[in-house]
Amino acid sequence: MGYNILVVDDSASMRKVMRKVIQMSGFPVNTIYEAENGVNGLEICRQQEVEIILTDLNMPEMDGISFMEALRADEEFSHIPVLVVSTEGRPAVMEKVEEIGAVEYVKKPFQPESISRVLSKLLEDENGTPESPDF
Amino acid sequence: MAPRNLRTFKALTSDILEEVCFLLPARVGLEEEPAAQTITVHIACGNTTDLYLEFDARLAKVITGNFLGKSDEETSIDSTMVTSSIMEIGNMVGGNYMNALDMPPDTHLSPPEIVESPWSDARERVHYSIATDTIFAEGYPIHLMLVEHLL
Repeated sequence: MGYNILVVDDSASMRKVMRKVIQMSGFPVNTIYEAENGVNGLEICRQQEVEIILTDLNMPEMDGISFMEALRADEEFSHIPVLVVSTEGRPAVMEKVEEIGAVEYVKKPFQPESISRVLSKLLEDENGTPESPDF
Repeated sequence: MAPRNLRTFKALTSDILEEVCFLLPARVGLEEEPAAQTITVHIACGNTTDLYLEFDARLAKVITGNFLGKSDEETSIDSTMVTSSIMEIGNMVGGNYMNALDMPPDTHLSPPEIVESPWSDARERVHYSIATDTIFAEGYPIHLMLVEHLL
C-alpha cells in the first residue's frame, strides 16, 4: 500500500527529477501522476484518487497559487495536503502560500533529503509515528 | 546597479550549477575549442529585468545528465530533456535572483524560453542597462547577460 502523489511542474526534467527523488525517498508510493500546470493538475485530481500534491508556483496557464486556491475552494479536494516546491522565496509570496494552506515548502534548488524530510513529516502527522528517511 | 546585480546573477548561477549539477567553476579544460552549438535561455523578471544564459551545447548535455542523475553509461539524453533542463536551470536562477533582490511580490517570473543568441541585438537597445560576463563550468564558458530597463 502506498500513496497516490501528483507532481505539478511545467518542467518535464524537474518532474522527472521529482519522480526519482520520491521513489528513492523510501516513502510508500502507489502511483505518481504528473501535470504540467494547475489546469492539468485539477483534471488529474478529478480523474484519480490523489492523496498528496507537490506543486511548483511559477507555471503557465494556471500557476501554483491559483491551483491551490481552486483546490481549497472544492470540498472534494480541500483536504489534500499540498507541498510547494519552487524557486520563490520572497516573504510576501511565502505568506500567501501559507495562507492558502500549503503544508510544507521546499525551495529550489533542493537536496533530495528535503523532499524526503517533508514527506516523512507528512506521515508522522498522519500516523503519529516518526518515519526516518532512507537517505 | 548593474555591476552589483551582475555579481549577484553570476554568483547565483555558479551556486545553482554546483548544487544541482555538481559542476564546479573550473576554467581549465575545453574552452579553447569554440562552441559548435549554443543554447540560450531567457528569463524575464517582471518587465524591468531580463536574464540571458548562453551555454555551450556540450556543457548543456553534461548539465542535463547531472541534473537528471544519469550515469555516464546512460546515453539516453534526448534534446527535449536538454532543453527542459536548461530552462529549469534558468528558472532557478531567475527565481533566486528575484529573491536576492527582494523584488516586489507583484513582479512575476516569466516561464523560461529558449531564444536565439541575443548578444548582437541587445547592444543596439536603448533605455536599457546591459551588463555581460562569462563564467566557466567544466572548462566550458557560460555567457551571461543582464538587461535592466532604465525607465
